[in-house]
Amino acid sequence: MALNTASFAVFFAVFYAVYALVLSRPRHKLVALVAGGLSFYAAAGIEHVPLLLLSLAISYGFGLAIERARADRARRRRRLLLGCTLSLGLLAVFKYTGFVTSTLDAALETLGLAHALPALRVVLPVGISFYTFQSVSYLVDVSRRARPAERDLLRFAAWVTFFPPLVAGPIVRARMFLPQLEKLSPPEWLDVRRGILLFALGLAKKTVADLVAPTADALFRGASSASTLDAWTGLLAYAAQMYGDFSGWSDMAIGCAAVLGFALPRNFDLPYLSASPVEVWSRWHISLSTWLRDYLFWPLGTRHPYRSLIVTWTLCGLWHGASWMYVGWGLYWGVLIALTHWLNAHLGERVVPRAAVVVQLPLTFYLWLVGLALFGAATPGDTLRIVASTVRGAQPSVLDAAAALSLAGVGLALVVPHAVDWLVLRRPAVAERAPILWGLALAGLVFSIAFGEPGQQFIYWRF
Amino acid sequence: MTPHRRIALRTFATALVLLTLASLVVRAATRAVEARNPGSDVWGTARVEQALEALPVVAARDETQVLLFGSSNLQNNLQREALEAAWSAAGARATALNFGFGGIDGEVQRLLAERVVEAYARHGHRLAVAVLELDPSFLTTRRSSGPFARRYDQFQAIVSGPRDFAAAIARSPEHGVRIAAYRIFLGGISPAAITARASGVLRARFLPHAPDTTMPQAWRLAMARAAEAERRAEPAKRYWALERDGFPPASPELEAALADAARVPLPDSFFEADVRFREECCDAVDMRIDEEALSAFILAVRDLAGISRRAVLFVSPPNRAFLVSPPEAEARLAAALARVSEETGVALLALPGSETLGREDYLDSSHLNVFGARKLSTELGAALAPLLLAAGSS
Repeated sequence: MALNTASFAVFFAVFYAVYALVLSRPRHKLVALVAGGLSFYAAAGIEHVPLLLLSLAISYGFGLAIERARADRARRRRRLLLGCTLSLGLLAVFKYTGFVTSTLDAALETLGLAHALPALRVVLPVGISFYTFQSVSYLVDVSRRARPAERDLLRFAAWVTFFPPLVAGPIVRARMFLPQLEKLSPPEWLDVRRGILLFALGLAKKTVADLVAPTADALFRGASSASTLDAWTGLLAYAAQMYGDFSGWSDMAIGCAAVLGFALPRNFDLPYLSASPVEVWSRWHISLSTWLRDYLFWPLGTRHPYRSLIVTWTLCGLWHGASWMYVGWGLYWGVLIALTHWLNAHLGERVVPRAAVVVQLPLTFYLWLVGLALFGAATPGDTLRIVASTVRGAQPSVLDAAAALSLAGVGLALVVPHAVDWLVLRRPAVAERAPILWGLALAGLVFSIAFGEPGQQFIYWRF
Repeated sequence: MTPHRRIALRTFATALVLLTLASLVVRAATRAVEARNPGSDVWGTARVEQALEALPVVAARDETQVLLFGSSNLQNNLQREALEAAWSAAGARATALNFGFGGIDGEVQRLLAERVVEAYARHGHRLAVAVLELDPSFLTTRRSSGPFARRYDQFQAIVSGPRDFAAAIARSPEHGVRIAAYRIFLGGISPAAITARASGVLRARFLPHAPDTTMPQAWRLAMARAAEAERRAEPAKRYWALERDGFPPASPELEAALADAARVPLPDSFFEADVRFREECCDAVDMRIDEEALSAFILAVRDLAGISRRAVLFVSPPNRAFLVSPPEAEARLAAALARVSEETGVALLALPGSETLGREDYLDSSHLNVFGARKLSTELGAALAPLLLAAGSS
């Protein structure tokens, strides 16, 4: 069930009525959270629920087992390794089986053994990438004694199945969320207002994403014949789509959680105002980039930091999707981030003076667009053609009224969500004044109701 | 009451107020835009809405009626005057009602049929004859699930009654709640329609209007005269006019302009592009039938046959110069017709003369021009006359 559907509106209304009005005992509220979460997840396909429960059982059981072995470091590490292997193994089976077999098949074909492997089709359960990473973070935190293992199965299940971020993030760590489940503090009215605002704005951003999607799709369909104007319009549209889609979902999830009385981590912080590749990933999908830092980069070790960075980001690419294009995208960011750190280390803290931020911002944004070309294109050839078209198109650009209108629309789709987000994030005292808050919420709802297509799939559901 | 329960109630109230306000703003803004741009019918819903408004009046009339129920083929391909002249010639008298609607699907037809049956049952009246057009492109799997499938949500929102919403929710909660929300909050408009309307307004305001030079100038001039004649014949644009029983406006001036346009040979590329569009939206060439949509149509046929003294199935002849289906597609259509006949007891009305309709009789791959419409209407009228007489309408 997506957050931008009519059935979610009904579901949340019923759930909220039960959770906030009917139930008062903490245990009953935990039961409601688990039941609500499983119902929400089952709406995407009841056949996926057993897998979620299996993942839950693995992380709960191994969390306790790791804690029991706290005095024995080797045993603790073995249990951690086994727990993570089982959790990640589930992800690997469901997400990468097809990728592995098709890659092996292609390799075997070069040896004259085409189609030697059976074609396996495994349905990817929604949200598996997100809840698997949550599970792994829990096991590692327990092993590092960053938090004790949760003994209360009901509370643990309420964290794993908490529905707002369940299928597309943000990734919510146990050490942030379990204490909230222990207290179950009801929300203050200020939190509720903020939650409603975030939900309405998130819905509006998703609507923007869906409106510009056809312009982005047109670029990737016609990569070989794009003019420079087409390439820029299409890439900017894709940038607007990605931001609107993903930050929109995050806002809606954070907003729902706030209405229920829970705080989720911020996931986006004006990423298109970044001045370097490193800064991009401190502002884009923050819950993922911090997860990668804490559970992949540091364990890989800082003896060879640049290598660790490249490996981390390449695996990040693989997390996004089971295809060599995503791996290439991850590698691209790994190299850029490693290069940025190397330049900072060898040429001083800032490569260029502060005044040149007017160069850094557009340059970083261009690098982001190149990354998007890699992310969205079907083949490396298409990527190269699109990137080349940003400099010199396959055909002359025609700036007629239709093209200008399209470009203006895409520009608005990029600027307006960022402007509103800047107001909410950087001037919260202003944004949360009642007339402005309610005005923004109403405007977001009006825009979404007028132009939104309920149920349009979120891009990150595919991951 | 605890403070937290008070906050929860306040949250509910706030959400309801916001949602209601937002919906009212959208409805008001949309109606204002439509009022300033008269003559714009967002995806044909205005015709359906106006037909539903007129239905109680039509059903209350004590007269012999022939209901023509189907697609835009019926909406455009039939001339009331030619039909009624054919009946008069055979000694029959009846009023033709045009319930042909474009842009809908089998499920919407089923719902429309329910509304017709309810209206006639309320007055205890029956139709003399029901002509039920099976348009195969309404019943294909691509229509149900293809790029335009979301359009039909809006029609369903307009035509459904409370029991239909409940049934839709039971079948698919998301779909059912969505169409109910369109009806409750937006009065039947859908966001997709609003987006289409808004982009149309933007294009009209900011993009220079360029004449379509792929069409012959003589045709464009004749069509411009026809548009002007139509405005004079019907100054307040209606899409389902009660005084015309759903048929388009008519005047000698309009007919002359349309005849002039029909005499201009149109390029092959125009017809070919139309066929491609119909393939893309509705699988019009291969006609892979969606069994669920066909079942919905069968229910519509059964319902309407139930309030008629006589009923016949009808298939509007396509433009065989361009819309040519392979034998397996024709077999699928024949099987669909056989199933409808078998399950409803309604036979197919054969019109041998429709085989003689040629390229020069068509506007596109399925709609007839004024000459073709006259031929088809005359032949259909003659074929229906014996049924009318048997139904006791002389």
